[in-house]
Amino acid sequence: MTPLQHYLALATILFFIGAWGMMARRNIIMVIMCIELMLNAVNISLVAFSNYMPSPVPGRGEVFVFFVFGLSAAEAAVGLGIAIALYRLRERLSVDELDGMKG
Amino acid sequence: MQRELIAVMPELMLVGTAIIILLIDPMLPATGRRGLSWLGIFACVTAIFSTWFVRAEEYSSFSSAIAIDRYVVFFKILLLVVAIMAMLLSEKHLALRGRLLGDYYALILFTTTGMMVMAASIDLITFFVGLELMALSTYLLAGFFRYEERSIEAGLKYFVTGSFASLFLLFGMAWLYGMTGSTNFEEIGDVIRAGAVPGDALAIAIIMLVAGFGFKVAAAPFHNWAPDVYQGAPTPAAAFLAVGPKIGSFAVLIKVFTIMLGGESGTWLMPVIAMSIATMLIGATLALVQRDLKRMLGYSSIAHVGYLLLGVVAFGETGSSFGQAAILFYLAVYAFMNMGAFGVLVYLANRTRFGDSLDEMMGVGRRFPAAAAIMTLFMLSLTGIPPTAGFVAKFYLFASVVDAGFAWLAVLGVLFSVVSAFFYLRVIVYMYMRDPEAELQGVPAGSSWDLNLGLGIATAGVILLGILPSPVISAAQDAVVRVLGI
Repeated sequence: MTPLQHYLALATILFFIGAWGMMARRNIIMVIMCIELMLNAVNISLVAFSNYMPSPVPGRGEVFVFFVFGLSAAEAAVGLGIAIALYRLRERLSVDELDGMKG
Repeated sequence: MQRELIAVMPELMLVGTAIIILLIDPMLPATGRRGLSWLGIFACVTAIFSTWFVRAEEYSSFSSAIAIDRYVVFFKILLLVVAIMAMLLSEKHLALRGRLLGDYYALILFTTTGMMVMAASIDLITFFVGLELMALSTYLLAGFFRYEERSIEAGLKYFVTGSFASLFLLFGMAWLYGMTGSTNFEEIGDVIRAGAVPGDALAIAIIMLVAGFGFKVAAAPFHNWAPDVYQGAPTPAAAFLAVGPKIGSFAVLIKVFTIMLGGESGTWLMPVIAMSIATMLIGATLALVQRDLKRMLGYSSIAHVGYLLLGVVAFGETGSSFGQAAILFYLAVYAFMNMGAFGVLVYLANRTRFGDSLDEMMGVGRRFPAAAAIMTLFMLSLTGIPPTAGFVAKFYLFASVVDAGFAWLAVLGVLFSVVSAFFYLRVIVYMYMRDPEAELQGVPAGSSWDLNLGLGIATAGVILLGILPSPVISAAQDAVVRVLGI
């Protein structure tokens, strides 16, 4: 059986790839995809923890994952909504020139 | 079953009303939308009564997902009052900009519901669901003027940074669950106190949680989004965003750091002290150079988060209830004075072609004496000058810090308050003592009595909490002593 540490290492690596992508990517669609990547990294760690849990509360992690699924769908909807509003206003999806406010 | 439903009755009322507003909004003519805010306000008032009705009870429901106790009742009533003020401030402003839509009130009600769920949660899953309900609605509120570039920019920045923060919190929660095998606050706390958790893994979880909460409440070094968001968002929405999510986040933060991580204060105390000093420093100094008032209030709210984090340090060090009670009272005062200050900006923007810049405040004292008078009151209160509520709140908070043995931190806090006096009092000087080069042009249809009512509530709150603070202070003490069991 694969040890728990392997799953956790995978989850952590995916999480920080997503975090790096969120900071480095200039396109808002890519940013939303990076958010989904990070959410799924957390899901992997939750399911792995739950599967290796010795304690008598089974399945809490899986239940948590279902909630995260629902919320990630809502998050994508809100993010894409804002992206569409931005696109209608400026005909592009890059966040580069979004620096109207300074100080 | 009945008791369980009573526990979530206020939330059900708000969600139900929000759905009704969304359903009837498309059927109304543009002028008929005026009444929708009163529907939302009616729901909030009813929810306050239904919360007050269970104030003496203490139980948990839905398999220990939600609790009802004095702590929760304190926060729910505070959040509902904030929501009422936000709706009163908004209506005319939205109508003048042609964006008076039912969605706005529905979003405010959803945000409030999310914050109430956060305050009531005693389980990681409930906490996360409440957090996301709050966060997703606030991103849309910030970008509500979607034909204006600044508003969309604010919404987008808030979405990206807010999601980042939520993800760090979620990762920290996943580790806490993995280390302890439970998602319940109390059970996690028991396992951690028993010493059954490896220290390194716990430190990872704590770092993630501190960073996530830091983003959510806009503490340095995670504060960068706040001034941009408050400047770009519609002004009444900015008033709500600067107050509501902070109250909701601190409601959970206190619970997390007391019930779950209370015994581990050695790990998180130093980062929180560093964060609070950096936050006060950045908030107070960068506000000095701002010419845009919404941006200035954004940095000022960062400074206030720094003071609030001092309260976290106080209860983390001693484990006594003084710090928590001080934070609760400070949040109540902060809500009234910040809503009021943003509300005066809404008032000026409605009555004139006001662009939120400091130079345009010249001559306001002569043209709008009432608005200038209450703006003076809010600025004095934000500075912390007696007899306003801001003074009592700061005094109480710094007293708790001294009590915890951190006199030097309290001295730092007072010093930064003195620095911040400069930019608050500058607004008063501009209003009364400078003559404008060009008068602000008036907008004939700009007066509205519900905005005046909202400003009246904020003024009354600041004056009453300054003169008669004892009922609210004792309610705050009662809330933390009985519930957190310290």
